Amino acid sequence: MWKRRLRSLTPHLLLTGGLTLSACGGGSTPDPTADKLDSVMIFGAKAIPLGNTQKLQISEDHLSGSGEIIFDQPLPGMNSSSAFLLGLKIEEGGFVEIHAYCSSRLEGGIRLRIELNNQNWNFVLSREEVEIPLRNLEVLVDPSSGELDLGLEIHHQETPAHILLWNPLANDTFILDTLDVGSPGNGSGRFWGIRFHQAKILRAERTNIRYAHDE
Amino acid sequence: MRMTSKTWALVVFWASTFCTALQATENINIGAAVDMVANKGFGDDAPSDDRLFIRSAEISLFGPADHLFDGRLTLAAHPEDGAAKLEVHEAFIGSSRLIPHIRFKVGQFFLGVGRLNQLHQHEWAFIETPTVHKMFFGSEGVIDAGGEVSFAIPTSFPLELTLGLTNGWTFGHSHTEGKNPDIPTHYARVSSLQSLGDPGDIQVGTSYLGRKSKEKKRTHLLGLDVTFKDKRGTRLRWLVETENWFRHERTGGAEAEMTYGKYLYAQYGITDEWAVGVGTNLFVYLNKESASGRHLRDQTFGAFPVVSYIPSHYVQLRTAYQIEAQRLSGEKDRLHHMISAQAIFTLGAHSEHKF
Repeated sequence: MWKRRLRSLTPHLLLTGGLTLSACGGGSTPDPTADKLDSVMIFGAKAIPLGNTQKLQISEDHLSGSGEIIFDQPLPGMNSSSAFLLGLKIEEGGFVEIHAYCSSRLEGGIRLRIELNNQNWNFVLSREEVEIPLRNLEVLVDPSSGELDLGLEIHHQETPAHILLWNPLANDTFILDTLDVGSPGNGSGRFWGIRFHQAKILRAERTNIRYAHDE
Repeated sequence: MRMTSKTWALVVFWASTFCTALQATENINIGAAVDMVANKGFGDDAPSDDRLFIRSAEISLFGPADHLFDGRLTLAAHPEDGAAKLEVHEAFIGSSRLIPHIRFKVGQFFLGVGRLNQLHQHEWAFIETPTVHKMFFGSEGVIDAGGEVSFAIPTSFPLELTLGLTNGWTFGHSHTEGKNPDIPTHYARVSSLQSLGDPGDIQVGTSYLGRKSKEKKRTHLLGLDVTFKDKRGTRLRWLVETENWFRHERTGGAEAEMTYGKYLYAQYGITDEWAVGVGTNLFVYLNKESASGRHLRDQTFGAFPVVSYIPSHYVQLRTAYQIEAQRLSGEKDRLHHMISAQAIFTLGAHSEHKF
């Protein structure tokens, strides 16, 4: 039955893939004068740019400039665990925010904001008005390239959400646990996406959770 | 309290010694239960532990506190993050003698909704937690502190109403004490236990549970549980149990998430000691959509045959096989298998079995 269901899904997947390819066709950079783009394929997943896309540059393996995208496929559910791998580079005065368990408009979710101001890196975990500054995360930045790699893991079936950060370039070494610094709470949606300004997103994908524990 | 895995044996030894020493104490029943599980998974991300582990080791003291009240204290240790975490599972005082036809309890306890949530895990008829129970109540069940009252509704057939109100600072698994909720956890269950004569006895219950967290997450759970038992002497000839649960959850003005799940387990007792059974699992997201508005049919379904050997009230041995298929949008389809074995033993007294 399961295999039959998969077979029945195949034409649908092919159709979806075809539509996606047609949306991506014609080059990797969108029309800079367009206010809104159709869905695009980025990091192997379907995503939808939101808002003003004039400064958003999209290719198959990175995003750059300024803009915001929401990934089309939702997270497993509001009561689930999810993990994300991020790679990014921020220009002076820029920022990157990853939103998880948010609405399809990037609202109401858990937000990790990373910004570079006056050569200082700032990391803030937040949800609505609750903000938790995170310290000593500069270790994630490669001093030679200025690129930052990060693993973000959210156990959203817990209340408040249990959030962990780890370093994907150092054997997923665990570097932060909201049990130690406090949790901003739980999001109200089941989507995830990215908002960024003067930055380059080199990697943004879902991955297996690293720190599952018995309930 | 956290212990290294090396202290498990000491806990069990201490429990048995403690039980033996105190068994003679007047009016106090003391018992210990140890639930050992070994499993091995195959396939895509099987949720197995791939080892033998003590799933729970618990010690219970229960009995009349005086001529009106009964009390119960249950301490249980579970593995968490590689160590054993000891916690209070139950600590309540109650009475069925203070007010005629009314039972009540105050303290900390498993919430009186559904079927599995009211039983200790070592009292279940199978090894692994059904998917819907795991998703809605956690791997074992929801415990909270508050009050619960049950009374018989005066009708021509047996009908019992249970009402409960608990703190609701947390619900399910949490590492913190939570926050004072906008609406605490409240629940109601209406159940009827009927004898069908020769075929056996059947219990039907409907449950509602609601809560609104500090973060404005409003949860409604609606459930239907049915249990049928055909017991001939000491042989449980047939056991059929099922729970169906629907959950509606919304945070603030965001879109609601609606999910449904069920399990069905049927067991046939070949002899007084040996039984075979098979269960099915289903969990479905009812209103999941992609950001572009495409309806997604995410679901999990599976089956789990079980063989049980129960030579006495004090020892249960089981083995089971589980197959489960999972489709979640944005992830590869998963199909995994798991084989499990379980040994449960109890020392000293154990409380009367619920139906």
